[in-house]
Amino acid sequence: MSLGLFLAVLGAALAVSVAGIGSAKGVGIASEAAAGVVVDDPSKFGKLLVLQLLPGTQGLYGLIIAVMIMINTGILGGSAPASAAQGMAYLGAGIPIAIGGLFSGMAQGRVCASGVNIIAKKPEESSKAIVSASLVEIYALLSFIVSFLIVIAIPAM
Amino acid sequence: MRETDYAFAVAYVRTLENKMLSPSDIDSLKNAQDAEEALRILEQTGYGDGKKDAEEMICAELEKSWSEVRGACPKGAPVDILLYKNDFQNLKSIIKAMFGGVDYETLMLRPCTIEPRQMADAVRNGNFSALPELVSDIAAHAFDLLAKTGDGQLMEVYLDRELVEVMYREVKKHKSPFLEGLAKLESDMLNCSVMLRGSAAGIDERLAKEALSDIGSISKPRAVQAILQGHEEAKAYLDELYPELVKAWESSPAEFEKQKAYMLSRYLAGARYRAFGIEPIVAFLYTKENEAGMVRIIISGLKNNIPKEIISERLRELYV
Repeated sequence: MSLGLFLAVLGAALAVSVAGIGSAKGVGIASEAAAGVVVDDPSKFGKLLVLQLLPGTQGLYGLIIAVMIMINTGILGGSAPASAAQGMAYLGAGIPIAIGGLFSGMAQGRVCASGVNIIAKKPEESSKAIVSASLVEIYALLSFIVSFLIVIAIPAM
Repeated sequence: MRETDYAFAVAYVRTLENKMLSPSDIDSLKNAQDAEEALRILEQTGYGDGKKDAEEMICAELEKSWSEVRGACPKGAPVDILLYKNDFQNLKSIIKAMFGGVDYETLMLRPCTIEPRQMADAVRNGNFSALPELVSDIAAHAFDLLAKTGDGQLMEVYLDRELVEVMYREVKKHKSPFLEGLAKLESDMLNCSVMLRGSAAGIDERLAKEALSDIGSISKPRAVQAILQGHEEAKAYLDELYPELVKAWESSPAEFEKQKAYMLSRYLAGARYRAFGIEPIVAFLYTKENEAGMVRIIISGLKNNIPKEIISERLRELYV
């Protein structure tokens, strides 16, 4: 395997795994809190599901970037390996969503768990809990957009 | 233990809060014609786990809440520390009952961490090592104190002080600034009571030293000195730290107790809305105790034909 290909693979792996860790932690804590409500009041499961799913988007963004890197470098198509410079660029492309996804996923998980407490006490205020959690999503999206733009700019380098 | 370990328990406690008596339930209870009607209202709200007698209802409700909260908390969560109050109160009642030759069963507070029967057997047989390590030496010393001096008050103040000190030692192990602050506040509240009541009654140095704790913000040597110098001196010292308590004391002993409860509520109020950690759980358990206290005040007030205005006056705010 060439150095360029190795770096590109590393970029893809970081994008999907580090952002995935953020999501896993976020979904984990939100689901743990949701379970505390559902165990006593299963009728709230539907409203809580949105909050449980929201921190999962970071992992999805990471996956999209990883797949784009793998397609562009030809790993999935089995074509020519990337050069060292391209590999470095792909590694750089994976970093924004990796770091942004990690921290926004964990932070969003905490906001969602807090939102679960709102729904437990006042189910009619569930929209406020979801809006609050969505604010954190902006920063995951910004990371995703930057990673996306870098990946699509690389072939022109 | 990380604060996020409590995510499940905190959310679960929120659902339990929804099942507490609402202010309108309390109003209905207050406006009941008699205690029987109040008990019927309580039963309709689901309070008391199907029991019929007021005290049994309160006990069952508290035991249910504690058991649910314990089950929801992560393993090793220090919630049982809050039950030491009941254990120490039971210990006092058992020792006094043994010396007085009366039955202790009706005086027992539940929930508790030490089974009253186990405690009573240990005291009766003088086998204090059968008790958990936490209280075995304390129980032996309290028993000796009463046996040697015959002074029930001395034994009680000794146990009150040991309670706050044991609580503080235990919470320190869990490295929770919130719980440490709570134990220190409890210690200060105890010391304020000892200083004001003790100086008014003219207690001696030995009793003052036995009663005062030195873990809060009140300096024990200075407090002992102030008590011995007289009531005005004790008030002057406390006025530097807790002027609102001194003011309440000057108003009436009932006002003083209310102010202490208010200060505790104020401390817990900040904890109630936290999303993680043990804080909202502790706040809930205190609120549940308050709720039980309110039910007790209303039912006993109605049983004894106390005017509704006086019952209202005695009630504290339900929610911290």
